[in-house]
Amino acid sequence: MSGNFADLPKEKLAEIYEKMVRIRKFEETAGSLFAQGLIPGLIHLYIGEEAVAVGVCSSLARDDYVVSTHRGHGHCIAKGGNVRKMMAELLGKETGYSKGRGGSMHMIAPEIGVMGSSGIVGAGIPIAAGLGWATDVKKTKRVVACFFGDGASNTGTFHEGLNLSAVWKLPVVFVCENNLYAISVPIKKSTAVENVADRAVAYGMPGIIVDGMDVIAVYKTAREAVQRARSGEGPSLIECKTYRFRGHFEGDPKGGGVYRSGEEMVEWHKKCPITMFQSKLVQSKIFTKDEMEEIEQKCITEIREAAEFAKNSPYPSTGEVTKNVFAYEA
Amino acid sequence: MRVLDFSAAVNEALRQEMARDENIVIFGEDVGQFGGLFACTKNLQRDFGESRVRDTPISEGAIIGAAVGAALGGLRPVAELQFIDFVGCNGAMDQICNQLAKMRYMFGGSVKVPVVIRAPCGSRHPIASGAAQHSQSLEAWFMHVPGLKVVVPSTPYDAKGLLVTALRGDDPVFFVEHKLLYYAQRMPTLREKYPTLLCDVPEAEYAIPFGQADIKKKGRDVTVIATMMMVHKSIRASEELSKKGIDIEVVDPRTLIPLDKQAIVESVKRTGRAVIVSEDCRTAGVGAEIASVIMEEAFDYLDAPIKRVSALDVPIPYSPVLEGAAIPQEEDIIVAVRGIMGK
Amino acid sequence: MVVYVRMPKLTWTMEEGVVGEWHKKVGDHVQKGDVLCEIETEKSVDELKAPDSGILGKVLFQRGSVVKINEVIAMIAAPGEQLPEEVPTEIEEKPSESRPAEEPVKTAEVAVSEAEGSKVSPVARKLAEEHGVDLKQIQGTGPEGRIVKEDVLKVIEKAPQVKTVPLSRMREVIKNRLSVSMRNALHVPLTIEVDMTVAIRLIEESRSKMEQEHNVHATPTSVLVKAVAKALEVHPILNAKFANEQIEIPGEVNIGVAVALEDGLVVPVIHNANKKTLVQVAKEVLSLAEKARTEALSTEESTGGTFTISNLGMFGIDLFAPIINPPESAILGVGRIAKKATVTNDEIVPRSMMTLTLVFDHRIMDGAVAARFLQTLKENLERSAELFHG
Repeated sequence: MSGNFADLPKEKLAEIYEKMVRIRKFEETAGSLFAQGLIPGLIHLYIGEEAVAVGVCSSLARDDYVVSTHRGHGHCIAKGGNVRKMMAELLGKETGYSKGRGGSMHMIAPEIGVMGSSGIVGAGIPIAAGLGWATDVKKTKRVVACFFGDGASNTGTFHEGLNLSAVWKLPVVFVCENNLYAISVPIKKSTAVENVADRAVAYGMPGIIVDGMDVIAVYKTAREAVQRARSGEGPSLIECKTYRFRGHFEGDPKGGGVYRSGEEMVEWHKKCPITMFQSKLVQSKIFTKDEMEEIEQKCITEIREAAEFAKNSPYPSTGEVTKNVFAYEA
Repeated sequence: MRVLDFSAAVNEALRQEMARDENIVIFGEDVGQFGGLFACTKNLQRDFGESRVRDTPISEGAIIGAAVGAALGGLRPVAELQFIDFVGCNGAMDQICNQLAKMRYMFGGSVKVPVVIRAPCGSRHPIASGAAQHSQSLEAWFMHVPGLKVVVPSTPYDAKGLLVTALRGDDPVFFVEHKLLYYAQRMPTLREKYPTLLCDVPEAEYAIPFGQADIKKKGRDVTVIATMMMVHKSIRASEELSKKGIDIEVVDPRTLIPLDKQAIVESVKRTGRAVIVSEDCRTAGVGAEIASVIMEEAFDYLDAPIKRVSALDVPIPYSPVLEGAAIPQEEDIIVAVRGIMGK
Repeated sequence: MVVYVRMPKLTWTMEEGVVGEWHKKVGDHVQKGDVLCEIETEKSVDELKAPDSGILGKVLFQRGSVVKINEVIAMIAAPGEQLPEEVPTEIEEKPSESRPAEEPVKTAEVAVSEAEGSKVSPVARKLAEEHGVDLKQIQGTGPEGRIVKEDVLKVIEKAPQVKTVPLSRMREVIKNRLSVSMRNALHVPLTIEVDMTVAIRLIEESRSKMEQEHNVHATPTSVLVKAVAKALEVHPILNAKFANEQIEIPGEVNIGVAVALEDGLVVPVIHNANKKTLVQVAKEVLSLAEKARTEALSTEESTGGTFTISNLGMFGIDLFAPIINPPESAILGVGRIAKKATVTNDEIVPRSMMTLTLVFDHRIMDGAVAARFLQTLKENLERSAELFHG
């Protein structure tokens, strides 16, 4: 699928660009807050992979579902998440999406269909299948986008989740964000096939490979898969070839440079999805440089305010530490 | 004093035993080239080769299952679960509970399955927040599976000696490593707060037998049975308690299965009082089992009810103020001890 | 706007870092993203990049300095901008370490029970039982008013130590038998002094020969047994027993010799003592005493007695009146042999004297009969040479 966007309206392109920039600014700020010791837990930044979340989520309706991962800030923002609530959650504040109980890896925003991220690799896959089953039963025509990485494609839950979705023809779009590494282990050492999408045939669903650094290519591919799902034709597996520009987590020595070569990292940095998209848009004269900068400034301000909001928010009260273990407190 | 990190002590045990026994192999996620998320397998792939130290895909069921098979085939595998929280993933629980633990028994003793599963547990509070799925203490689950030994070292010295025993034995062992202990001695905050984290680790080979508790601090008034990080919190609490004229004895079981009941009971017979401190959540936790044992075998010597200090029955919260309130702290130990002393 | 460059937290365990080589110096123009300096952690050497563009106005820490994370190490300013002398305090951001006051109790106290009466700890209860302490009288000093070990110990220490000893089987038997005896027999004691000088001399004189030939020597006890046995031949009523409202006179003379044990009394029996030689009697007395002490007596050896001798002389007792061993008709209590001043031919002579007390059952005989027996016995003992021959 090519990244030709001539057929897309300007508003859509602006939305797509803005979302990618918002993600980038959010992640950079999160990284800097971590470096300041303000984020108590570990964060896994999405920098470099923005095109995948934005491309996929731009093809979803507001009440469509997203199942996310430990590297989930991008998914949440792309689906329309509130950056103040997200930032507050990272800092462990009461005003966060999960009221400080979850942190980076356990964000949720049900009002926009973000049904939770999990720190367990592969765990979201059968959960996505379940969501798809619920929409079938309730006949809501909602579609589920399930994000996971190359590492997850080797888990047992991948097999069971995809198989079940295919057998029951569930409205799920499985999106594999193949960034070539599962922490330190390269895909060549862990995965028996060259492309994760090659596995789709084992589950009787279409498997598509797309350039994960090309947001429009991702968008158009996802749009087709979403259409398939919504019309009852069942699930698809989209593999986005992408790369994370930072380490697996903030604090990963040398930004992942222990297990990735310097040349490889430099090569991929040249393919920054935002820079590439931006220059294409400017070149095509759909946007001016000033318009691009305006969008960027807007995001910068937004994120800066979100960080302030988060810093000034209160911590949860320890008196409520046992709240919400069960629906009704004993 | 030859001070080693807990992770370095684990590394040394693995290294010395692998040099001695060519059948010992290691595998898990990121254990090979990266040396493990917590550096426990650092440089082992470099020194022993890729056929003996392998990186696996994210496949916990396959990791444990393959370990079982490898053991049946004559190897002595060390399988690493990256976090004990992942034990429920992808069929690992079945491999551990239904296969590994039961094979010797259900095959009438005709096979041995010498697998050592290593897994980090626990909260990293106050250094970092792991949240609900990366901070659990699940050792009690495995106390409840007949056929599995459960080892819970609290110091680098104990870790090395106990791991050697695990590697030399013929039984399946669940070797639990509290992740706060890994680098504790390198972090000034922890090191100053808990000087007991530092200890001498001899370079020579040595083994610590299972079922042998260690009295980390002798005392007169209350027997405090504590595991892993809680050993250090208990010793720190003891300083505060001694100002109130209360002298506690800290007993570290070191292994939960087998449990050194004799040492625990002997201590309680002397002091007449018991408090069990463990980081797992209260209900049906480590403390529940040990309290029952004490009640059964030392009832007539008890001068006070047995108390448990444990985490609240909640998933571990992310926000540090909540996490600190959810897991046991020195203050909780002090409150419990003073409560049964009546002073 | 002054931009503060801080020591970054590069790993989750990092608390401080070492400033490495500076790639820029004060006064240099820096672009956002330029490498300012290196930061060394225990794991690696990383680059610290300029967060914004401007002029590197101040460098606060030189190479080699150890700096805590988040501390300001340099300042970047716009051209011409004035830099503060020191880092203003309000800029120092520290993550909040607040820990709100209210904390749920983690050692969940079970609701205080409303049990009747005060609580007692198991060990306190056990101690109280062992020492017969009444718990109701104690005010507990433990938490929640619980009675604890210390409380019971205090009471025990104050109270006189009453030690209760349960009855052993043997004690029980002795108690029962002698109670019966006292209830039924009419006990009358008669005392006589016997001159044992000759007997003792004979015992000494015969010692080595007897030892050589028979591996045994005569003792006062064996001499007594023989003397009593002979006397009973002459006075059989003393050998009788009272049974079924009748007096039965047995055909045998079986002398029981009481042997003291650590916590009781046993009476092994020398059957047909009248028909045995002194040597035989001496041997049997020895072996029976040994068996008695090792609880190895056979039934035969401990039953069938017709008369009992009880000797407390070895304990320094001068005289005593034992209780008749039922169903016998009499018992002889033997005191110690001691040198005493006696009168012979109006002269005071030291002689080895022994006091015998015969307790007889008045239902079966009268005093005169008993007295005559004692006279015979005395003669037998004082002229004991005959006992030594045959």
